[in-house]
Amino acid sequence: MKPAPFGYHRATSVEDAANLLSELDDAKILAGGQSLIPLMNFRLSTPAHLIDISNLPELNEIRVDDRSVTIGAAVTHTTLLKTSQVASELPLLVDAEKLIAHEVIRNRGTVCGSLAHADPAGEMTAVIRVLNGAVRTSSVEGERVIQAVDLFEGPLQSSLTETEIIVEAIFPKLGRNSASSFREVARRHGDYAVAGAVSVVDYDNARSIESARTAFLSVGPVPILISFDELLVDAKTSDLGHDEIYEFVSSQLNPQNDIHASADYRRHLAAELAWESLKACV
Amino acid sequence: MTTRSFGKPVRRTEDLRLITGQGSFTDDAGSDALSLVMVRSPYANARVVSIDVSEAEQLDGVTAVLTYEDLPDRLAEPLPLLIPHPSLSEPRTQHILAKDYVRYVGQAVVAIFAADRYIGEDAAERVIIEYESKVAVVGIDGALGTNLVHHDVPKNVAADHSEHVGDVASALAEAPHVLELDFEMERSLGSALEGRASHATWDRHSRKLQIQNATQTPTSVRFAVANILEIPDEQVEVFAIDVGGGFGTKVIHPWPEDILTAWGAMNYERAVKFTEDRVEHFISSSHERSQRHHVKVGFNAEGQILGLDVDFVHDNGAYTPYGMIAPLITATQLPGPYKLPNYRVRFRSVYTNTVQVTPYRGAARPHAVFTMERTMDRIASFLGIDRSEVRQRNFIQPDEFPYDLGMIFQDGRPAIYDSGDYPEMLNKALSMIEWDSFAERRSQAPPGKRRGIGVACYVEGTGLGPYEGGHVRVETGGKIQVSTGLASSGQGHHTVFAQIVADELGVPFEDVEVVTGDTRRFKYAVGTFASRAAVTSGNAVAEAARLVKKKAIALAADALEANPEDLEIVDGQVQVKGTPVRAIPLSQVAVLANPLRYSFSEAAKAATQFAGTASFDEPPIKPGEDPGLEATGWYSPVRATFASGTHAVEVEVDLITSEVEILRYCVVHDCGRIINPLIVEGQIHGGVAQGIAGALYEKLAYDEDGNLQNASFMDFLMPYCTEIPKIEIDHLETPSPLNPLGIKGAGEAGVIPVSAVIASAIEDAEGFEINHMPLFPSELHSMRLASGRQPA
Amino acid sequence: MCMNAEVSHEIVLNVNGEVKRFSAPARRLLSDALRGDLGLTGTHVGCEHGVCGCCTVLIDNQPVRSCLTFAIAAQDRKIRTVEGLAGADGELHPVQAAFKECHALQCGFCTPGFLMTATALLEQRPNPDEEEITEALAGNLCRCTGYQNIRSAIGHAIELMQSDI
Repeated sequence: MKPAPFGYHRATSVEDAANLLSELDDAKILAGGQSLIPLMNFRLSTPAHLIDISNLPELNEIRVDDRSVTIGAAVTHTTLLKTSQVASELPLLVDAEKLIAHEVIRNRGTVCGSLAHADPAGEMTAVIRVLNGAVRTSSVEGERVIQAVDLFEGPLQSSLTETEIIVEAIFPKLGRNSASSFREVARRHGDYAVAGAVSVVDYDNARSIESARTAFLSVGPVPILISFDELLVDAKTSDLGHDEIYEFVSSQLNPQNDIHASADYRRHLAAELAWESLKACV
Repeated sequence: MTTRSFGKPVRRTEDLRLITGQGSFTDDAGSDALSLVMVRSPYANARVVSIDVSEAEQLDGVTAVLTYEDLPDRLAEPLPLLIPHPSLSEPRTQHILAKDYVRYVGQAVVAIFAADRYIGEDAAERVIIEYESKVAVVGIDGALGTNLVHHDVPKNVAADHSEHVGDVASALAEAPHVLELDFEMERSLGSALEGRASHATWDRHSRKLQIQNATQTPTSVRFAVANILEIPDEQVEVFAIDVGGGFGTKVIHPWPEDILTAWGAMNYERAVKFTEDRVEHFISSSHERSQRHHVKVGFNAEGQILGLDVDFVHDNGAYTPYGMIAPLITATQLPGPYKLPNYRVRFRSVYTNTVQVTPYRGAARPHAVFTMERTMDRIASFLGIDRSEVRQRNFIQPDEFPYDLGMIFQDGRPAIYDSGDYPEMLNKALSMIEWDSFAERRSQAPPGKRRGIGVACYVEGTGLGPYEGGHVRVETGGKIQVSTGLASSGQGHHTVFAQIVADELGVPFEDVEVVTGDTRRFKYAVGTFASRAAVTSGNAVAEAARLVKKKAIALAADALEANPEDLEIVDGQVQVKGTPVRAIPLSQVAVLANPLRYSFSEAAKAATQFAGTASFDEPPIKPGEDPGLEATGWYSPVRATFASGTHAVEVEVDLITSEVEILRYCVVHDCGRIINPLIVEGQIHGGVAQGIAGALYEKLAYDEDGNLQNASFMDFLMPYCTEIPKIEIDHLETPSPLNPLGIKGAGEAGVIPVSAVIASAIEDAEGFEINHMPLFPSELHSMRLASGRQPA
Repeated sequence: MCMNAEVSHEIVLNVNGEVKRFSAPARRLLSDALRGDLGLTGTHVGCEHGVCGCCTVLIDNQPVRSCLTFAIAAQDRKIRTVEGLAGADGELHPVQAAFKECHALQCGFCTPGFLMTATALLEQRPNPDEEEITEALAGNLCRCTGYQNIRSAIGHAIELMQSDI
């Protein structure tokens, strides 16, 4: 399976990449290529041009400040995984990274590439959704920030325009009184999840729940966020009941049947994983 | 005394090349060759209305684009039916390029010869084909329905075959208990990591076609190519060198691409190569494993089977190039290690609009074992008897060999078990897995988990004929050259055959070089499949070595003026027993064996000291003799030799996710005398891993239109190391009386009972019936809900 | 490989310490460039969608799928393949020696991918625990060995490397 012909352009800067994206007809951004190149090898994707941004040093940075962890478009999953500051200040990112594919894919694949790819089975799409993060984009029209809730439109369909390139992804940090947990079930180690749940619980100083939410992967066309606030606000952690959470989640999810799993099984798994990940935040 | 290497874990001679990246796999050859790229049908059942290749032809780098109409007459016939059978009343084989109709998604329609695969695929996209699609027949239900795959094959039945022993009807009527059971196994494929590949060159000066082919059967590829191209056999040579896994898929069928690469090389006078990609391996090679069984078993209060009636349907895909071998094996191997005085089996092999079905490791024995072993478990459950005890009560006993099943086996000869010790084999396995103390371990399962244990036994006919041959030659330089016609795809033949020859001949293992699967070295062979290579070629090279030894001793006796009975060969020296000082190296005997005037080396000169005792009344080469210290040996078994084994497994099922974890996997395995335990265990490891894959992860999913929905490694789930547990092995050796080395085959054993034993363990854990494999967590979840056996 | 109407780039790759130059279109996968343009056929191609691992090479000492990399995008990097593992005098790398000793290969098709993956693991972590070994090996398929002896081989390679110190 060999890709169709394309023109190759190595961007010299973000501005150059944006210009090329605007000038060239039917062009795509190439970062790690781990999602794009398989599609090209199958000829399911046949862009006329590829603009390579993987070598731009300005896109290869991770910034951690008081509020967030910001990850440049050329940062690979492995780089993120190995950045100790991220492990200490937003460990959820590292937890998620360990579930993404295999090390060999993480060595080339990029965090922002995963987000642009918009696979509802992708761990990073669920994480950015549950953290209420955003991506900053650049195009010849200028820059803009797209919130996670607006970023994913359908399976493999992001809201990025054809001339827009993700420059960085912003993941807000969790407060000291917050906890997070990622749970997923995959058929084989490293596979896309059959179902996955990433939960965040915020507490007040008295350990009452202020807010709880779970983002789900692989159960819908986009990562799905369910808020448990109406069920759990002001509740103590000991008030959490399995059956209530299970029913609450099941009633809101509508996954599809496919060759790997039935809709019922996926729904069941998602509900159980929500319960487990919420419990782990306690 | 030469160290014997038979039975030793000798490290492989193949490895040095393979670990340094110096392997010679078929695609490694000829980066300058033309690439053959195929355009394949996207429809499962359709009439080909029109094909427009004009745009494709004009692409830079395209040499030719061919449809059926462009094929020369000799390539326009359907590919051969390799194994006819009286019961195979409606065989069908495909054309090299589809003629008027396509019968499966993936069928070859157009052939493109291009500068490389990239350009070939560009051209393939530009071929415009109009199809008139028809309803696709998919799955056994589809085949048994009203739509037809081939318009002239009624009811889609390719073959309807029965065998019987005794009187099943009476046995069932009189049995105290009768159970009716239904079992099903679903479709899968071998999926070697190297796909199919062929590389052909034509040298017009020597008028020779040289073909490197990733095949398990080079001699047959040679005959197929020569026959179809209508050229003399002598003009075709086929060799396999390194093959990246075969598993049955690469046994000759033959493929359209085998013929097209050869023809293309001759026609365009360029090297031509075909290397299929992964998608093509899924949609245009061979599949297996889909059968549905209906069982009626009659038994007494002790659990002894009085009568067994099995009626099954086998999905053979759209074509039957390999006849009905797979279901025939199922039918004749079903009895396994048990006494079945009354057994009837009937199968229908049916067409579907899917990829053809030919044997995949285990060759339809897994289905037979699944049915027999599940039936045993059901009898045990019905009577409240321990599952292992029921088996013991039905076993053929060690003193009952040879045991005639009363049926004809796949090799056309009576199925007669030669040796085995089934009770001991089972006991060893039970002991390994600590069967008797399992109740306690079951109760120790953590909350949210259930544990189960299972056992399964099998018998496997191996070492099939009709024959293999081996050639051994002592070079004047001292190396021993060995060749045999069957091919290798990871079995360590070069090492194992060297061990055999070294021991038989009395030479150091390091001096023996082996070539397999090369018609330039050995022309007559059957092939590597059916767990037959070690038995047949092993015995053949042993025979050749014995003949060489005999000749060497005769020549040396002459040279040393000694009595042949007083001579032995030790470490490559022919010496007088007891006085090794009087010796002559084999290399010099080789010189003496060829009474040439010229001495090409110092060693040859030295040998002349021994020349001289020949009588002047006799010619140097007497009638009936050959020059050279070499011989060809043949091994032609009177019938198959039957290996056996027992697997036992402990599993833990997660009641929330329904994932199955294998806690322990134990194998007791009897392949007679073992040549190299490292290699035998490696074969078992690989077989068990494929078996686990087939039980829990791998299933080919066709939709109702005949599209394969998981034609890639992303969705066809082959296990990584994280999915395969530790595999524990113990051996039993009941030598085969049928061959001088006492060996039985080992290549497929690992995979044969795996679905059965895992089903047995899951059923034991869950308490509801498992009749269907593979079993994914999603299905297990549904089954548990339906059974009402929810977790506490 | 042949010239065609597509734009051909001059590509420079650093492979096993040597600088190699060849012409190829942008779409030439690194796997095909290594095998076809450079004649280094030790790296194998099993799936071309990044799942099987037969094509694994090292780029800047990290394992990478060469079937999911364009040759043109791998310029300015240090590429290592199985052909570069043994010493100049032919002395086997401990990982290679271990695979042979432990019968960790049968058909040999997946082997180069495993060797490169294992080499990278042991370069990064000379004494990995079971979990780290499993994690490193988890992305390579083998159809012949059932992985049993591949695991043993890693253990043995660690021993060989420690005794070399």
